Amino acid sequence: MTIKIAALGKHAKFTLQLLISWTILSAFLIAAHLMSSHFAFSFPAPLSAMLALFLALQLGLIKLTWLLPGTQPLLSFMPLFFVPAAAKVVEHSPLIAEHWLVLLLCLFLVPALGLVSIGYLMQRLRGAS
Amino acid sequence: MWLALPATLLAFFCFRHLHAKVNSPLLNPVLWTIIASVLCLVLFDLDLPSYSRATSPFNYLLELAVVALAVPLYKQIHQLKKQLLLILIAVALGVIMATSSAYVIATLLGAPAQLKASLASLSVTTPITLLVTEQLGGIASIAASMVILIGVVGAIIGFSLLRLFGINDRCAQGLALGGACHAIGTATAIADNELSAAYASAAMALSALLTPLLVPLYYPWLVHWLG
Repeated sequence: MTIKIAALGKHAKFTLQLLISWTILSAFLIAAHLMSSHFAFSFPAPLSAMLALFLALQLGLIKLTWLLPGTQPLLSFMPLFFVPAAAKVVEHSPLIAEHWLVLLLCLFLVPALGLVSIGYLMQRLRGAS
Repeated sequence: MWLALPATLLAFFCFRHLHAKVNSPLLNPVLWTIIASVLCLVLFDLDLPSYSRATSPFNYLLELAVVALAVPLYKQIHQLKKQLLLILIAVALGVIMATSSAYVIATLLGAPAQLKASLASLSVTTPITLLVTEQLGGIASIAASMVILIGVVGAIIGFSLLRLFGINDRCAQGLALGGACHAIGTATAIADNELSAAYASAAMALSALLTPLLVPLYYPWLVHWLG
């Protein structure tokens, strides 16, 4: 019985921590959306919210421990959230069929050039410093 | 159509389970969930606006996840404070290189403006790509699919390509994988060694910060000069 109550208490604590974390994230997101629509910013609201939260963490206004219970599941499941956005690619099949070579070349050359340029520069900079 | 959301969840968890068993970048669970979703949309001739409505809770969670990216960014900046400037320079070069190379390829092959804008931010994690692509007037779904596929390509060829070009420093290898191939590249670095993993995570987080700041300024300049 005592073990069950302890387990329930643990779950309730975790749920509360998760809610606090998601409330903080939502507050930053809603504030960014409001600012974005009020001042007609072209910068995406979730990114403004991310930068604002980063600054709040740097300035010590928000503690990392308040956020971790909610951000860990969000970040580990993040890939799942963009599946519907990517699946809508089906709408553009004629464009893809027409320009498949552009997409194929980008698929191999963009990562290859990125890998080599970043890797080479970092190796040189580290060697120099 | 109400089944769209639970079916996506089910497919994702099945492919994730399979990926954990086989552990090959070719079996990337997101890639296969997208393929399965596209096949369902085509085969059952499903209505796209209804599908969008049914899966709309994902949009809110995606926005929340973008805000949550501030946490890994904060953690990595503290860990790699001493080399932050070097890392920033290298990652910024990677962002510029990805935008420039995709734009030059697309321009040489006569791609329309909307497709060029869709290929402007391919080296960064997908949620950031979606937002930047929409901001530039591109097609978010093409950008998202390309980013995931680029991650898979980078995971397969990454370490071999880097060694081929004489890049054997583990920090440089990790930084290149995280900066050019985002989360999937970072996962490859994590599987290889701890040092590369730390640099890959930092590069991915910094790329998520730099891309929305650099690309919307750099891309119009590129369009102005290259047409």
